[in-house]
Amino acid sequence: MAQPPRLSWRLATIRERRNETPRAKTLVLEVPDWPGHLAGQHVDVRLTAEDGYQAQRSYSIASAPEDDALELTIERIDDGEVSPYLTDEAVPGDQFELRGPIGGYFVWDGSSNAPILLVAGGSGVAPLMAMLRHHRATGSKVDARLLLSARSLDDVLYREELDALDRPVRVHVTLTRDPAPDGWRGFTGRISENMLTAVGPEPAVAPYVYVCGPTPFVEEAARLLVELGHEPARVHTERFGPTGG
Amino acid sequence: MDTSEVHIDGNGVAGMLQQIFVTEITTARRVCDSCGEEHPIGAHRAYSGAGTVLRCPACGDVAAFVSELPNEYVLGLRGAWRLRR
Repeated sequence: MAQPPRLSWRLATIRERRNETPRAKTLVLEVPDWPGHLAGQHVDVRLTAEDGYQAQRSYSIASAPEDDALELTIERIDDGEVSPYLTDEAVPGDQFELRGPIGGYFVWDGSSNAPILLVAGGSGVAPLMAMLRHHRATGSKVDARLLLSARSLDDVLYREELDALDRPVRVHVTLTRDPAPDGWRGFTGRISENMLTAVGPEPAVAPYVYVCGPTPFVEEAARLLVELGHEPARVHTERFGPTGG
Repeated sequence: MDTSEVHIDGNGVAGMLQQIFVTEITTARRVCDSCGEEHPIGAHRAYSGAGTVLRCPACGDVAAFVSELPNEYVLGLRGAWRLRR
């Protein structure tokens, strides 16, 4: 995809606000002259207060390139400068500035037949969801596996949509904090070597690996993946700060 | 992703870098002066405070520093940056 050389700030209008979890909402946006994006890219969002003070954050794009609107999933950070406005106050019709799409490193465009392993901590699943949605929209045959680490089942983003995914996509969830609900058949506890081995695919088939989440989660996951034998250059990481910023 | 004031990835500051380089820079590769390893800019570690510092993911040596001032960027680069033509 040809990228415009210089990023410019565009005015996005909120078309719809969707509740995802108690702490996260998805904003469906209309952005005039949006040039399109690749799965895994992000945007910078800039809010300007009446006194001119500006705050800027980056958010992954959660929608597929094929979708007709741009979607960002925002997790509320209680002392954040940007996310509480986007999750609590902004309503359909409101506008804010964004620029993008940004990034070429943490991208899956479906042009390779190599399997993909997606590893998410909490709301780090957003750019990986864009990849899975792109996978679905293109009818991809690529073996795709997601391991999502969440505090509790209620914190799992896109739960119904993930449940509905079928081969060649396989979705695994591990619950790290609350006791698992009765009949839970997924993993529990923090991500481990055994868990990654069970999810696969094995390093020998050289999957592309994408890890996104809070910095400590990504550090740990990347370390385990390399220890298991995944080639470091195939392990793409996107860290977003101590707890999600 | 919601970036905050701590160690993220080069990818997380890609918007600012694209403003400076006028091209997508996270897929460019850099050979570290200190350890000799080559990594994509997107895989470097980014630390933000008054400005942004990029560090080699292997050895932690400084790869770049960037400050955004009202009318200019102040930029320093180290190592060999390989940008696709």
